[in-house]
Amino acid sequence: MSTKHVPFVKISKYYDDDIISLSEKSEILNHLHTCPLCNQEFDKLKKMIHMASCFCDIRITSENEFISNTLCRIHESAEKQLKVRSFIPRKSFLNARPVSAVAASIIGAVALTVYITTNVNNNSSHHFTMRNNAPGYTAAARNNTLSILQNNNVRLLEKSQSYIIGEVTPAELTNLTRQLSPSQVSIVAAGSRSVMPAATMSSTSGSDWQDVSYTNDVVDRTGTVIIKVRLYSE
Amino acid sequence: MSDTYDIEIIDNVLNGDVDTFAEIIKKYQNRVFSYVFTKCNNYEEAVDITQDIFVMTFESLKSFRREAKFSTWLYSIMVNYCKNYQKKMRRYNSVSIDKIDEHDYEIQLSDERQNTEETVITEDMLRILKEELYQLPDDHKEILVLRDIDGLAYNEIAEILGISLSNVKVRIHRGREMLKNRLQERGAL
Repeated sequence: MSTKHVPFVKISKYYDDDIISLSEKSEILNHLHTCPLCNQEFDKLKKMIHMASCFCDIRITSENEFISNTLCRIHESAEKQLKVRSFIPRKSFLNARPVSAVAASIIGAVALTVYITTNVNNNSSHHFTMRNNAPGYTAAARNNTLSILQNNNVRLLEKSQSYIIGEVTPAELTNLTRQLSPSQVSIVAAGSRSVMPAATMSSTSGSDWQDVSYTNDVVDRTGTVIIKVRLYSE
Repeated sequence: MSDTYDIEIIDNVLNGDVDTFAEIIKKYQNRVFSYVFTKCNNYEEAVDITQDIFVMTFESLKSFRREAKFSTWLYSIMVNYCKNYQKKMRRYNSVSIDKIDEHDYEIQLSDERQNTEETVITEDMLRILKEELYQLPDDHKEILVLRDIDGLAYNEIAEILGISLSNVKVRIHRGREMLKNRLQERGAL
């Protein structure tokens, strides 16, 4: 060990104290003391890890605002979960042991009545206290963004809870940026490559996306751009 | 704040006190954010993704089986979310996101390193490090972020990524070597 250089991977293991054999550990230590090249490699590793740890300093600039906005979305999600749950029958009800058809239907009817009554009451006095949502983080703000996108014929490519990926022409993009906050729209890529058939946004019914009509013909994509739009504004 | 404290908060949230989830967000927001940021290299995007991760964590709380630490579970959601997000974005990327981004987020150095001649060099080095880290293969990038930026232990990383301990070690040491060579080539080391 003392004459041969220590491979970098071993230096890295030594740095992490991941060398089990005590004799090997002390050999490496001795070598680092005597070999300037290996010692230099060890210093480079330390420096690199020190530099990497600086990324820990990257922080969200407005932490309180972030917490409050995230909580707004969480409350929205909790409300949705509550609504969905009230329509799902209890598992035990589905797994009930087989009884005669008549008895089952009577029990079922009674259970359903009790269940619905209970849930209606629970809904009116559930624990979730809705906060006063930040203006940009309400369902209304989200729907407003969606209707702006619809009106500007943004072709939907991908959608999640907080953003959509769509394709537009430069003219449509200009209109869009006038109507939405600048921080909401960002260009992801030039729309020269088609990934999937573009779903048009021509439907005016409902507030949510509907992939109503797919264009079968290849749209001329020269000059189109793929954009990402945040559904919530700051 | 210990893991026991996290569990207490989760119990409160599951009992209907949703607002206490703010404690979880407060505790982990910057750790999640810094990981996400190294993945997407765009401040606004990283904020959105971080928010999505917390919403998703909240929605999945009932499936948290408490076999691992809450932080480990949260990180595994974070890692998977980022993987899926990147896959989605790659489908559309004919131009790399970081090349379009004009509002690149500057790394803020802590006070003691500011206003010295050394800072200029260090900031430049950090920029190169960020670029090179971003260019590393995903497997190595993600493991180096968890180890050398977030400071997680080998076994925690293995749990989060669902890979063996020996695999974690191999990837860390190879990833470091790769990164060191690239930084050296660019004169940042």
